[in-house]
Amino acid sequence: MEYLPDPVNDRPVKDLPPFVNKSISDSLLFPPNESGSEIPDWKLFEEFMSKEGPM
Amino acid sequence: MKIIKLGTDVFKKEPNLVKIPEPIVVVGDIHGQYYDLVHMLNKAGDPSKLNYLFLGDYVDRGIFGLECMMLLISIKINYPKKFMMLRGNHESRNMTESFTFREEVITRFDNQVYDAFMELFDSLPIACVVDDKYLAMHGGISPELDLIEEINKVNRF
Repeated sequence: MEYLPDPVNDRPVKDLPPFVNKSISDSLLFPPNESGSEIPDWKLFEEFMSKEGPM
Repeated sequence: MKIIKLGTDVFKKEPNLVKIPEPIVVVGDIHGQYYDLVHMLNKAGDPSKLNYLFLGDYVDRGIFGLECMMLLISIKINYPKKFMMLRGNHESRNMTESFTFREEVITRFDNQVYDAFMELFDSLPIACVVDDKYLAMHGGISPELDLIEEINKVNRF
């Protein structure tokens, strides 16, 4: 997932992960696999929807 | 849309009456409660290692029907033989119009996504035989049903 950038390294609470900055990309959601078929990474999707709220 | 289409293709290949062996986790109505669904999956076990049977009613009432459907379809695409999803009475145009799912999808996306979901709902199998012992379905057994094989004669599409 693409997290909110911290270009000047000034996030005060660094032990918490930053917010996700963009919607989940196809390349992350459908990682390449041996069969070449499109199979979604459901664990990543679950985590994304749990943390970021409604789609 | 891609996940909905992939899921529809998986469901269309299944017969009306699916079969699954034990050990199995059987899950009743989810009704748009996404966080309860995630919690339940964490408690019951990894779908890659366990058989699951969902008895329908994934949407309406709760406000996360879309998230519930998207997660369940994603898992189904990964494990089509171990993860069974049946059709409940809320997986229909009638119920989603009277309740909340149609409004939820159209407000957040559009009619095209709603229609894709309806096609997916039409493709869901109706009943399941667990380990050749138990017959599972969302509602009840029709008084017109004499033989279990007759379920496969119903045109669900």
